[in-house]
Amino acid sequence: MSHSLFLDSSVISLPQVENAAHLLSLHLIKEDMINVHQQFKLIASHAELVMAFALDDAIEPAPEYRP
Amino acid sequence: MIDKTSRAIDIAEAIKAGKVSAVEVTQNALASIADLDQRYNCFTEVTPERALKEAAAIDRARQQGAHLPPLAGVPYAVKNLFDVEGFVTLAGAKINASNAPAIADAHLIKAMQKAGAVLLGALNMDEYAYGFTTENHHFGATRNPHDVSRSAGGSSGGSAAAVAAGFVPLTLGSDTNGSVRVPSSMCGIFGLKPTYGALSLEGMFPFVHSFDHAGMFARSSLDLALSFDLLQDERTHCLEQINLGIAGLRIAQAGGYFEQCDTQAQSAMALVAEALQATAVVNLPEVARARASAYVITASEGGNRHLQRLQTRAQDFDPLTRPRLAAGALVPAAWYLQAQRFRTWFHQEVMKVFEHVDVIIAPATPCSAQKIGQETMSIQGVTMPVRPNMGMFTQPISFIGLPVVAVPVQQVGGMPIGIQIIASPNREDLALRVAAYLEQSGVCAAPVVRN
Repeated sequence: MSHSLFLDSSVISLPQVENAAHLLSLHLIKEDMINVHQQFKLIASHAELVMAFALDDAIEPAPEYRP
Repeated sequence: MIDKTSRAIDIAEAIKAGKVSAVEVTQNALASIADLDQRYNCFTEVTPERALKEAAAIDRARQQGAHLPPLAGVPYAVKNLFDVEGFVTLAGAKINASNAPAIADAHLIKAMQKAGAVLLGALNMDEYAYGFTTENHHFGATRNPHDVSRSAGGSSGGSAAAVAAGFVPLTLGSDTNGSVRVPSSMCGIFGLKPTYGALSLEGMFPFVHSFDHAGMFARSSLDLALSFDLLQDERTHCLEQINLGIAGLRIAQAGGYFEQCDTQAQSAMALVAEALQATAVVNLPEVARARASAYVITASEGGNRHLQRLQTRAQDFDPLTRPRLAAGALVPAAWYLQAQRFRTWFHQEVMKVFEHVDVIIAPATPCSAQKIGQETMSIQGVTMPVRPNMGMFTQPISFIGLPVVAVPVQQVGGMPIGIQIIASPNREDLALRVAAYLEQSGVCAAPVVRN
């Protein structure tokens, strides 16, 4: 069974990012928060591509190991 | 004669033969750094006392008739995220400057010391390795020895520029998304990013657990092979095989996604492909999605690693990294896990491609070094930000940990540019063979440049 997930990065607002930051106790000045919002939307645009790909349920996250 | 253009292997041979002393080599290297590094800003710390002590020990051993190790008396330096005993591990960050000095050398520095190499100091980088340009607001930008108005690439920019400028024949760096291969391309030198896990990361300041690799820079593929074998405790024998040539190797060009480069990168690809008679083209599946996944994982793991520092000392971060790390800390788990699942899929699919080819060639960067401070670039008519996109061809490869040698193509009157020689896991020997063939045939070269 495969599934893909929809994500629309264009709708992410500054208040949403501010709220997410506050949940992590990240308190930045307004100018920084505007930059964080821009960077978060950029990450989200990459995440759109990732989430849109149908992956078989049997595929697990890549294994982690420490060199 | 030993001079700034000499390879590591030749310096060691000359010292073993008594043609020059290790102290003499070290003093000359320290003098050129003192005279010229203000132009390039490669070093954040020079360690003359330690260097001269290590060099004197090599000379004493020779005088006593002891067997000298393979890199006896060879000067080298390390990216400043490696622990150097007695010095603070900066990792390019002002925040780290208040940390206690390292109490021991990183594992790979110990291995270099065992091999006889002489440590000259620590090298500049992007803050916490998050960047492709080494434009560091705390320690200044590293400038490209080919053109000081241009970036040396990053994040191991100091490591690449120090080799290109002939301060040292060898440096160590790290590569998470392209931080060995991008600066190798920008500075016109050879760089090796081995298979994920091949080299120990002990004593190196981490960035992204899933992709962090140690790597090295040199002006010859031979020096890369020698140092890689030594850093692996000689579990590999790349040096022995480096002159086997390319007969019998199935070499293909990476098409599709990797064709989104400027005309200079296209010319360099054509030159290398012709020299290797690589007419076949392979299209790796879903490369853009692999790059996107690497981007998400990097942001998430990097942001999480620095969350506490962002909560307490946000204003002490470099303004180029602060918003990127803070945004990364906010990445939802669903994105991160889906990217890690995609990584499994991509690895499986690319391994199928390697059933039919031994080596794949691809540009290391979409264009050559851009001006320091430049925000955007145009590739095939598409305007894009410089800083995140210099790694667009390297990210999908380190995403699944494949070994890569970046080889330099010098262009008359222009900046150099690199090509990635990509092999399947643990086949550094094949990538190094191809690099050596290109070097011997004159297609790739890494001259010392001090513009």
